[in-house]
Amino acid sequence: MLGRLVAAGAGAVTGVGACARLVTGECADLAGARIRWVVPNAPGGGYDAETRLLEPYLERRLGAEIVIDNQPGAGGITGARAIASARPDGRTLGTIGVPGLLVATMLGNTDAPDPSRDFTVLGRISRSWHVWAVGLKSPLRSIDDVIARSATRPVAFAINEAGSASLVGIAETAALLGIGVDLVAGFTGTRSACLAAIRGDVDLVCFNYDTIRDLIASGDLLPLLQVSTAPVAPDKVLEGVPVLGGARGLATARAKARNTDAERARAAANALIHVIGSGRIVVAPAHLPPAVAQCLSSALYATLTSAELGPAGRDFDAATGPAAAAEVQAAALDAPQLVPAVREAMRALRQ
Amino acid sequence: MTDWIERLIVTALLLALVVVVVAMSAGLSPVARWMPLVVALPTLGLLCLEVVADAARAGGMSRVAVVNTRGLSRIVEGANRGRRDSSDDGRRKDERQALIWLALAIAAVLTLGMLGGLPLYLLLYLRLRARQRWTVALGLAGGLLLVMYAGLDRLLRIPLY
Amino acid sequence: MMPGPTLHAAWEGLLLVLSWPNIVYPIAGTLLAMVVAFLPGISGVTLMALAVPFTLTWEPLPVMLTFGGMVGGATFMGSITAILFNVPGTGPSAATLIDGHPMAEEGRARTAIGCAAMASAMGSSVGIFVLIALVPLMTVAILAFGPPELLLLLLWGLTTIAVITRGAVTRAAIATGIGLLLALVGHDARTAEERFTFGALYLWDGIGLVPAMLGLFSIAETLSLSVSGRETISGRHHVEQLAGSVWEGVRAVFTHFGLFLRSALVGTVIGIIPGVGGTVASFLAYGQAVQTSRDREKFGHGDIRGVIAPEAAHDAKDGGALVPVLAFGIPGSEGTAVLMAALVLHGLAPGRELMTERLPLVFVLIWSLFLSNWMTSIVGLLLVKPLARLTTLRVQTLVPVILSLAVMGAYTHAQRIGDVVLAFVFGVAGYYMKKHGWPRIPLVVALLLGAGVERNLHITARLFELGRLDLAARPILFVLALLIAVNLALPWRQASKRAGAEGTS
Repeated sequence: MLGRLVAAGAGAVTGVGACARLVTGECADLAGARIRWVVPNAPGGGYDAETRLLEPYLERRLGAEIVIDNQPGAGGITGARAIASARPDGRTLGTIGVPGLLVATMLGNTDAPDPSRDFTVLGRISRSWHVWAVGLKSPLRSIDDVIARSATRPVAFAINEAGSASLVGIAETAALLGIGVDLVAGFTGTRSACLAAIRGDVDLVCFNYDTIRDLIASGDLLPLLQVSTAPVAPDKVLEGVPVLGGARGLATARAKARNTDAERARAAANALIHVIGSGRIVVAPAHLPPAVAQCLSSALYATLTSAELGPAGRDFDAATGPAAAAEVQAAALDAPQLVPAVREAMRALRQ
Repeated sequence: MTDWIERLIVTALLLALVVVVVAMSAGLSPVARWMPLVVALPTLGLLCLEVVADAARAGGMSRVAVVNTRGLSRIVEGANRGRRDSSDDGRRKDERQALIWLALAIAAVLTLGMLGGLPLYLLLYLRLRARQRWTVALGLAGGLLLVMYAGLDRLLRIPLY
Repeated sequence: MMPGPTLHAAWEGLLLVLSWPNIVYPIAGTLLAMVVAFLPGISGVTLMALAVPFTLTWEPLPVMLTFGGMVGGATFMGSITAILFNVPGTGPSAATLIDGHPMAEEGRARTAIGCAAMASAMGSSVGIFVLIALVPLMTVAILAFGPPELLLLLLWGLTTIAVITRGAVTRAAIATGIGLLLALVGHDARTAEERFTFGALYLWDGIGLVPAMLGLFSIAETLSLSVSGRETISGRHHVEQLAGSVWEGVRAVFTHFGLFLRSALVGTVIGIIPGVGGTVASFLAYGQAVQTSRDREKFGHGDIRGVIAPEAAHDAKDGGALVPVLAFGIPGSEGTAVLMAALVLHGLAPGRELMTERLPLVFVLIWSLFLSNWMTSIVGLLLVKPLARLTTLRVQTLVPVILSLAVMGAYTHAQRIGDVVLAFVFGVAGYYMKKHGWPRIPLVVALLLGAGVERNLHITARLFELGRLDLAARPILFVLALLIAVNLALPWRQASKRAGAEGTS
């Protein structure tokens, strides 16, 4: 065990010198360089843990030294701006959450960079799919119960921040399903909001499935709706839980039941799913030389899909740079459709 | 600047801070401005009382003087009305120097960065103000540089400004 | 869960920790954390975050052993800089400096550090034993504290200021108000509006507590020391001239055992509540120490009880803070956030599975934390003499060193140069506040608690508006309301007692 301790530490720290043989021709420019990886969270928070997981492996592949630069603040905007404003020389890259930036833009925040214009997309780390869930003591056991309940009084959701992707997901989904909602904002963190649902203070929560997967698995939360076009994970607990989007999704079915434009509802649901699901991506400043972008993108994808990560890497949903860039473009084009529902929800919150 | 003027300025600055908060709250939504106003308005009231109290103390009014005056026509100067002595002057000189060195420290960090500015400030302070020997000054400044470079930058990989 | 399996798992966990070579991991984790935590602002969290990729290929057992050591190793070192130099190395140690630093100024640094070390170690033991006792009831304990309970708890913290600030009640109230207003700077989570930021992105997340505290206490104190005319912090030039001793400090914890136990329990309970944190625990414990003491004149001027209370609470909180992490994956602090990230990366998702099927592993973490807390205190005790020597050094030599440490702490906390500038601004403000009799503690406590008060007040009001709250079914609210009422009544009672005494004399 002691030997493993020393070996693991030595291997991670001295990766650069030991593994120069992994550096390919197009990455030769970066060999020996010091690369800054901007993380828009404090150490240990949010994207920081997964970045520190990837860092030693990416270092070996690039033959460079990677320094993690934590730049928390403003809901990720500070870090995003730091990346966007750096020189496009391959010495700066970073992780951003696309939904957060798109939502900030929807709310009129002019400080937020545009993920579709202000960056060179190098790859996707993961996607986020929202689910609606109730606490275990809740009398609501299906989405039909929620729809029926909302006919008499609005259902109460707990959310963290008014400017979050959850608000967008709830507002648009509620509009599509014809559900009245009351939002209770201000909880610190996803878990606190989930506790409110478990306690019975509110009816529902709407969060990224990966973040609340363990609470669902343990039975503390019951999923009622998947904000996606297909099941978000092959987990038993999601069997029978309806999906929102797609030709056979709940949005289309409800539109038909209410005699509204089903095609428009499907398009709106898919737009929401594109925006929420655009996920976490690794980016560099815009106008990065194509060769450098190709090098970083290849190395990143190889790292994300490598067996070296072991069980820690199983939650990644990697995509190459071009594929991720196309997703981001689609999400950015879809985002304006969601603005009316979001503005209405914000107006209610500010009264 | 005498103590009483300084005291009054400190209280007035705090008052100004709260006034700014009240003014800026007007542009917020009802939900967002509720708590700031609930806190700021009573604080403003208390601060106004403090300003008056500080001004009265500065005027050196004793209880007897206030009771004996008619309106504000007679104000008896009290013992605390800014009488200065040499020890006060010495303290003020020390204070000025301390503030100047503080300003130099922040200027050094902002212009030269943490790695350059902080050890330089430490070296200059120890030599010029603390009048320490070169060995001590260089040793401490060098030690600080080592801790920041080796400990923070290299080992912990915390990029420094 | 029945006590039988819990005790069995606890025993199994203890044996695992104490066996060879397992014991090496918590020792190594503790020592590393202690070294790093001596630097203000870093507080061991960065070390833990850095350790995550190093441990990826490890089995769960050494992961628990190492991180348990790191969580415990970081806590005590911040108290040393607080006592010696008035530099709070971590948020919670700000409460320790209220009486700890005056003790150093009186030449009793050894007593203060000895007391802090023993109160720390014993406090953490209380926290851990309560944690073990609560393992079967973790879920119930956490679910009992919702936004209304949290609101009243934070109000209790605010009203505690009224108790610990004697004399200048008006100024304390004003400082509290200003602290609350500063806490409201930033992005309002409920309405997504920016408040009082003047358009600066830096202020979007509000005024940071760490740079504010480093400024108000550390930088302000360097200014005060510069003009104080003092030759040394302790007023002595040689170690032999220092008063007090380590053992005097250690004995004091036992002399005031009732106070110690109350403070440790306050810290443990606060630790259980997610999102409250060690700084609140320390200040609340300090406040209850003042409140429950008959002779409280010496508090704030080097009363050893003012060191026992926050130190006991601060370390007791570690045990309590594991409850929400292990039961629901809710981190109560930055340290437990990193711990949780490490657990998840190793496939150890906090929650029911961990608390039932892998309970011995949970106890490995707990015992590792216990061992680490005692190790830290013992090492601290061994270092007392060389550390106390620092209080005999010339002030003008120490001032720039303290300032440099404070600047480093302000920057490394979140790696923003804006925090350094903010610390300087608060430093100048803190100096003039101290010079002209404005209390700083109420401002800091209000800054700490203000955002939470507003947030929980709003959530509580909203739930009430939606008819979701049944106050009668929440008995904890009545207990907290009573505590607040006692806090509010106490200054009046003291004032009328004083008036009565003056009238009869």
